[in-house]
Amino acid sequence: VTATPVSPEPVAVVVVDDSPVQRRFLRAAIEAEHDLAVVGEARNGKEAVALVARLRPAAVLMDLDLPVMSGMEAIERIMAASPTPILVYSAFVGGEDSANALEALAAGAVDVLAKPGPEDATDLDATAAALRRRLRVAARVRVITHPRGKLRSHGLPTQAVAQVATSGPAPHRPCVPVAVVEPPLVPFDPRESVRLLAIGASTGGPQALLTVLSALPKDLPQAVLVVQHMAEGFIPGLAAWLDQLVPMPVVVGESGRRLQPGTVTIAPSGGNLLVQDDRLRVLCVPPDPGQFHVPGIDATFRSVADALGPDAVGVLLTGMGRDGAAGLLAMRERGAVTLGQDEATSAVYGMPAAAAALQAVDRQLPISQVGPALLELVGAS
Amino acid sequence: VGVQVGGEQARLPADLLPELREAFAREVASRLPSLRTAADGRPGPTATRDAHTLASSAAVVGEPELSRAARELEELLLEGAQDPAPAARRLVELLEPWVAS
Repeated sequence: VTATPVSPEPVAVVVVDDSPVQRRFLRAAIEAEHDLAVVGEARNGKEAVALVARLRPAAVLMDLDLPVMSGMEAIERIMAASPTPILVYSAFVGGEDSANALEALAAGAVDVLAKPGPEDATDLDATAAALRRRLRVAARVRVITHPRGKLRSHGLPTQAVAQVATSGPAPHRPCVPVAVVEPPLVPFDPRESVRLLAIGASTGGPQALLTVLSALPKDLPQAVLVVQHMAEGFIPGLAAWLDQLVPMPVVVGESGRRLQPGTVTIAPSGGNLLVQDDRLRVLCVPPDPGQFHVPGIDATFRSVADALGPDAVGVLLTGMGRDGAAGLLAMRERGAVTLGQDEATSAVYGMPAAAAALQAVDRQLPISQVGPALLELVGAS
Repeated sequence: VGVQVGGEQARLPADLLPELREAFAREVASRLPSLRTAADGRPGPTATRDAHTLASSAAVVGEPELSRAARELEELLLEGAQDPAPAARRLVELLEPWVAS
C-alpha cells in the first residue's frame, strides 16, 4: 500500500431503493472509486426525504417504484424542501414508464438512468462505471427550489398539483423555473426566410425545452428540430410528454420524412438525424466512431448549416460537455442567427459555454427569453 | 472491501457477486409468500412491486431467465390481465430453489 495524496472530500451520495440487493450493489458501484461516497441509504421515499434534509448530500440516486412514499413524490418533496441533484435509477416497463421518467425530470430530477433488466446482458462493472459517471455530472448540476414541489408543500392535494402539471397548453407551466430579471434587449431584425429552428440540449434539457417550446405558437410557419441527448428508449416518452404540454404537435423524426412547419420533431435515439436538403427531408445515420453523445447535436447542426445556410436559427441549451458548439459555429458561419442559453439559467453551463468560447453565439439569453427571441427572429412576435 | 482503482475503469470487488446472491436469496424469501398467493390466483396488493423488484434484482445477480419471468408477471399484473396465475406459478417455480436449503 502506497501513501495516497490528500484528496478532496468525496462527493456525498444518498442511495434510495427498497431492495437490499440493489442497495448493496449501488454502494459497491459508487464506492469503487474514491471520489464518491455513500453517506446514507433509504428504503422508501419517506426515509429519503428525511435523510436528504438531514445529510444534505451532493447527489441522490433514486428508484421510482418505492413503498410507503413513491419516488416521484419524494423527488417533489426534496426539490421543495432541500433542493439536491437527483439521478433517477429505475426499471422502466413499457412506454408508459418512459413517460414516468420524463415526469421525474419535470418534477426536478436532473437525469435518468435505466436499471438493467432481463433483456440486458448485465455487465456489472460497466453498469457501475456508468452510474459513477452520471452521478459525478449530476452532483455538479445547479438545482433550484422547485415550484411544483412548493405547490404541494403549500397544502395543495396531489391531484390538484398533477392536474396543474399536465392540463392544456397554458402559457405558464408550474414546472417552468422562475425567471430571473433580464436587461432589455435590442430587437432582432426579423428574417422571414427562416424555415427551421434547430435546438440542441443535454443535461437539464427537458425542462429547458418545455420552457422554450411553450412560448412557440401552434401555427408557427417554421419547422422545429430538437436534438436532446437521452438514453436509448426515452425519446418517445420525451416526445409524448412535450406533446401534451406545448402548443405545437411533437413527433419523433423518421428517416426519409420531411420536417413539417408548425411541428416539433425530436431526433430519435441510436443515430444522428441529418437535414438533407432545403426541402427539409431528414436522414438518420449511424453515429460517428467514438461519438460520445447519441443523438449528436454537432452532426445535425452541421447538416442544417449545409442545407439551409442563413434560413435557419440555431439554439444551444443547457448541457454537460461541448456537443453542438462546433455545429453551431458552422451554422453561424453560413449566416444563421444563433442563440445560447446563459449561465445563470443553465442546469449545466457546458455546451453553451463551449459555443460562446468559439464565438458561435450571436446572443446569449436566459431560458425564459429564448422562445420570445425566436418569435422575434422569425417576425412572429 | 478490497477495491482497486487500476487502468481505465475501477473494478467491483470479486466477492461482491456471492454477497449479492446471498442478499438475493433473502429478498426472494421475503417476497415469495405474496407471489405464492398470486400463483394460487389471488394476487395481493404487493404482488406487482414484488415482481418488479425481483425482475431488477435477478438481473443484477445474473439470473436473466428469472428476471424475464418476474418482468412478465409484473406486466400482466399492470395490464390487469385476466389470469396472471400461470405466469406467477412459473416465477414461483424458478424462485423456490433459492429458499430450499
